[in-house]
Amino acid sequence: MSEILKMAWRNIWRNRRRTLITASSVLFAVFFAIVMRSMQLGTYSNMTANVVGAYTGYAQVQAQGYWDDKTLDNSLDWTPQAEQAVLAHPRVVGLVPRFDSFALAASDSSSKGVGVVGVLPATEDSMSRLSDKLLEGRLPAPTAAEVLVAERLAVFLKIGLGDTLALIGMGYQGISAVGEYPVVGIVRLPSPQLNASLVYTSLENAQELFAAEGRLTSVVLTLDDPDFAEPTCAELAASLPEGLVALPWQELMPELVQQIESDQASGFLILGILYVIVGFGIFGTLLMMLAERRREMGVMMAVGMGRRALATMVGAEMVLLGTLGTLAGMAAAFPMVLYLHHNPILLEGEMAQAMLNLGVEPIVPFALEPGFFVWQGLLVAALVAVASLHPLLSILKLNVINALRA
Amino acid sequence: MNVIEIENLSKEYQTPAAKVRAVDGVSLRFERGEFAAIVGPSGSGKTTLLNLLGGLDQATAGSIRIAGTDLASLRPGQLIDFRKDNIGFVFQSYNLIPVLTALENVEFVMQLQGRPKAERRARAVELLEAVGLGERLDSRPGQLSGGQQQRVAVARALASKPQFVLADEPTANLDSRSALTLLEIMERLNREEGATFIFSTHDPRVVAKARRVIWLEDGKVVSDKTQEPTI
Repeated sequence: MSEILKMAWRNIWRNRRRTLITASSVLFAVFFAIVMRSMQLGTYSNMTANVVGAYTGYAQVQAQGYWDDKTLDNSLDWTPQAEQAVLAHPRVVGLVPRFDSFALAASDSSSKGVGVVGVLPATEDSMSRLSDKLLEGRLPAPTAAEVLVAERLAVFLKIGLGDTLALIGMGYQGISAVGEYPVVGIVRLPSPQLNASLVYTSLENAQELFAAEGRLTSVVLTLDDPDFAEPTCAELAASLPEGLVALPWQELMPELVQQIESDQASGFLILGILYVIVGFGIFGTLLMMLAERRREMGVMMAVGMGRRALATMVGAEMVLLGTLGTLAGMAAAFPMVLYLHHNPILLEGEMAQAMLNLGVEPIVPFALEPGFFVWQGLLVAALVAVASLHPLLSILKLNVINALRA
Repeated sequence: MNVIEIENLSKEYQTPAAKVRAVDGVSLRFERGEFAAIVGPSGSGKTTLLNLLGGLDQATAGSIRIAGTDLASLRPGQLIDFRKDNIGFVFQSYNLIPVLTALENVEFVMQLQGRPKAERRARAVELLEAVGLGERLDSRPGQLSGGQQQRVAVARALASKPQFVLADEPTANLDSRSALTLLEIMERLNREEGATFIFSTHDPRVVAKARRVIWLEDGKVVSDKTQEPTI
C-alpha cells in the first residue's frame, strides 16, 4: 500500500502545473466556503442573540394556549413546584419572570396602544441588558409603581422623565385596569417595533394594575447553551406541571427561523454551485490524467498489476490532490476567520441603519466552529469520490490491448 | 520439456470493412531456454501472436498451454496473476513507468508478487548490473537513453523469474550499436537465467542472433527452422 501511495504521490507531481491549478481550485473553494459559512453562522448567531436573546429569550415556559391567544385568562400560576421542575433541568441556569399585557397609554397630548411588560428589573437587566440601552433616567425600582418608556413611544406621546403616563386596559378576568405612573427612564430598544410600543414596569406593579396578583404570562429560561433550547424544552415537557408548556425560541419566533433558513438556502446554493464547478475541474483533471496514462496503465496490467490496485492508485492520487487543496484552503481560511471572529466587521451608513432597524447590532461577526472545517473536508472528499467514480470505473473495465495501443 | 504448446490458434478482428484473421491456425511448441524469433512483414500477425501468448488478448479459436495451464481456462484475475509469475514483457517503446527509478521499475513486478524488500532489491541490482546499468540505479526513465531504457525493460521482464519473456520488436527504436548490445544481453540472460525468449522482429540483426526463426505470413506459419546464430 505504501508503494501505491508513493507512486500516487509522484504521479500527481508529474504535471506540476496541472496539479497546482487543480489543488488551487479546491483551495479557493474550501477557503470561500469556510469564510462564507463562518460569516453566515456568525450573522445568524448575532441575529438570534440580538432579536431572541434580548427580549424573547431562548426558551419560555407559558400556560398552554397563551402563545396562540395572548389574553390574561391564559396567564399562568407560577407555583414553587413548577419552579423546582424547571430549575432541576441541568441546562437551565436562571429564570426571568414576566407579566405582559396590552393597554392604552396616554399622555397630556396623545394616546397609543402599547405593550406593558412587568419585570423584576435586576433579573430582566441581566438578560435583556436594559441598563445598557437606557438613554436617560433609570430602571424602575423592584416594586415601585413607575415606568420605563421606549424611546420612540416617548417621542410619540411627547413625554419625558418626570412626566406622568396613564395606562388604561382590561385586567385579569375582565376587571378594568387603570393607573398613572411617573416616567423614570427612557430606553432605546433594538427592535423598531418594540421601540415604538413598549412600557416596562415592575412585576408587582403590573400584576397590581391588571389585577393578577401572583400570576405571570411567561417565564424566560436562561440556558447554559442556547443551542440546546429545543431539546431542553422537549425534556421539560415531561416534568412541568399540567397546563404548562416549554417553548424554544424557534417556536416563539418562527419568522426569524424562516429568515435564517431562507438565507441558509441561498448560501448553500452558492456553495453548491462553487463545488459543482470545482467537481468538474477535478473530473476534467482525472480524465486528462487517464487519457495521458492509458498506455502506461496497460503496461502495468500487462506486467501483473490488477485493475483494483490500479484504481486504488488513481483513487489515492485524487485523495492526495483533494487533501492537499483542502488542507491549504483550511490553512488559508483559519487565520482570517480567527481574526474576524475576534474583530467583527463594523458596518456603517445605510447598511448599519438597516440592521439597526431590524433590531440587530450593525456588525458582521464570524463564527469559529471546528465543525464546519470538518464539514468542508468531508464535502471535498465526497466531491472527489463523485468526480472519480466514472474514471475509476473505466479503469476497472480497462482493456489491456486497447490501452497498450493508446 | 515443452513450456508453451500452441494448438491451431486463430484470432479474428472485425474491422468496419471486413473480418480480418490476424492469426490463422498456428500450432507451435516452445521448449525451455529457447531463443526464438517470430519474423514476418508488417501485418503478418507477429504482435497479435505475442499478445495471445502473453494472455493479453483472447483467441478466437485454438488453445495455448503454458507449463500445462490452458490460458483460456483462467479468469481475468487469475490471468493477471499468471502473467505476473510466468511471463516477462519487453515492449517496442520501452514502456517503463516514468515516476519510478530504474531500480524501482525492476522491483515493480517483484513487489506485485509480494516478495520481501531485501530480496527484490538484491535481484533488481543484480539484473541491472547484468544489463550494464549498475551505475544508473536511481535514474528515472527520462534520464536514460532509449537503449538504456530498453535494457531496464529487459531486466524488468526477467525480475519475476518468468518461464518465458515476450519481446515485441525490442530493437525497433534503437540504433545499431544499442540494438547489438541489447541482443547480446538478452542472449546472455537467456543462457544464464534459463528463461525462454520469444521476440517478434523484422530486424535482420535480431534474426541472425536467434537460434530458431519462425516465419509468419498472413497469420500463418510458413517456416519454422532452427539455426546457428550467425553474428
